[in-house]
Amino acid sequence: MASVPISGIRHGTLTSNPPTLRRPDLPLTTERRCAAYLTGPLLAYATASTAALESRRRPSRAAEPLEPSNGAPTLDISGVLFSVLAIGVVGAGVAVVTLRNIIHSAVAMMICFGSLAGMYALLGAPIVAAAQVLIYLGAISVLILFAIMLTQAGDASLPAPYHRQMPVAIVVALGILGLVGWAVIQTDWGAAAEVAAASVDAIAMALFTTYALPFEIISLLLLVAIIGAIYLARRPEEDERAG
Amino acid sequence: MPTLEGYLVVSALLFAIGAFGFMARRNAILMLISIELMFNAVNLSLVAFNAYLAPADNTGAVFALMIMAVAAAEVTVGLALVIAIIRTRQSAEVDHYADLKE
Repeated sequence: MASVPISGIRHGTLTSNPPTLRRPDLPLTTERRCAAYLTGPLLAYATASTAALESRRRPSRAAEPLEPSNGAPTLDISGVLFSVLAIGVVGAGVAVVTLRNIIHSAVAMMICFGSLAGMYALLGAPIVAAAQVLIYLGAISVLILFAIMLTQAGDASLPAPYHRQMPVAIVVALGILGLVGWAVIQTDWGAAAEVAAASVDAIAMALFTTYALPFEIISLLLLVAIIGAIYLARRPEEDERAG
Repeated sequence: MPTLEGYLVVSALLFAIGAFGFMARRNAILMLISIELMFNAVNLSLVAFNAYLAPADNTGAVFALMIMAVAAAEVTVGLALVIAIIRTRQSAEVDHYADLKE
């Protein structure tokens, strides 16, 4: 249905004309007319988003009027998304360090990582969001869950999960939070009001030209980590059996 | 609209939560999870700085990707160490790993 061109939509402004279908070979049934009405706003939104992104990437085209001139109140979707994701990140983080069962902690950690991936997408860094989902949600979470299930026999709950230095830890953590928060609020960042979407091409170019040497060193580091992990996690009796 | 300060405050909160978990919990695997939370907090602030302050050069995003790779290596070796120690000590609590002190 998305391939059917629909008239009456230009840069996000939906005119009052009903959308029509330009397929004269097919009869205009009620179903197709209803479908055009339903997909019309969606296509209009997609067109508006694409136009906004294009104008952001190419500043020379930003002079074109994009927003509808009727002054309708727009819903601040990014603000709502940020609030939801921030609650997800902080709430899941608190759950990670307070839940007694360590498997529950690991699941809360996955929720926290997923919310962070959404934040990266909201920040206009889709490649970082994809890497977050692949590496943290995919690899590291599964690794941690496997380690928990390999080591915790039976009930994974601890009778007393907290160390006796817990009050000191609260004070130190609040001190870190206060210092960093104070620095964040005091500093005049001079930040842009709008986030510009980072292009994957530019990140790839930077990764393989400017930062080619760190990239290669990281591949070496990963190789060393794999060998070290296999050596460390091997059972001693397998050693004796082998030689 | 979300601001840079909003992202940085979330990052600071997550870092403080991770620091608390690292210091207050007794389970070795949960300490590793707390370290991951702190890595993620730093990553979030780096990507936010990149998006708001220097969108032209993508240094923050590249740095975040490299931190992710290093964190994957770190958690691999760390979990292998923890599994080896738990196998010999039969305990996941860091207070029981006190052989060097005795």
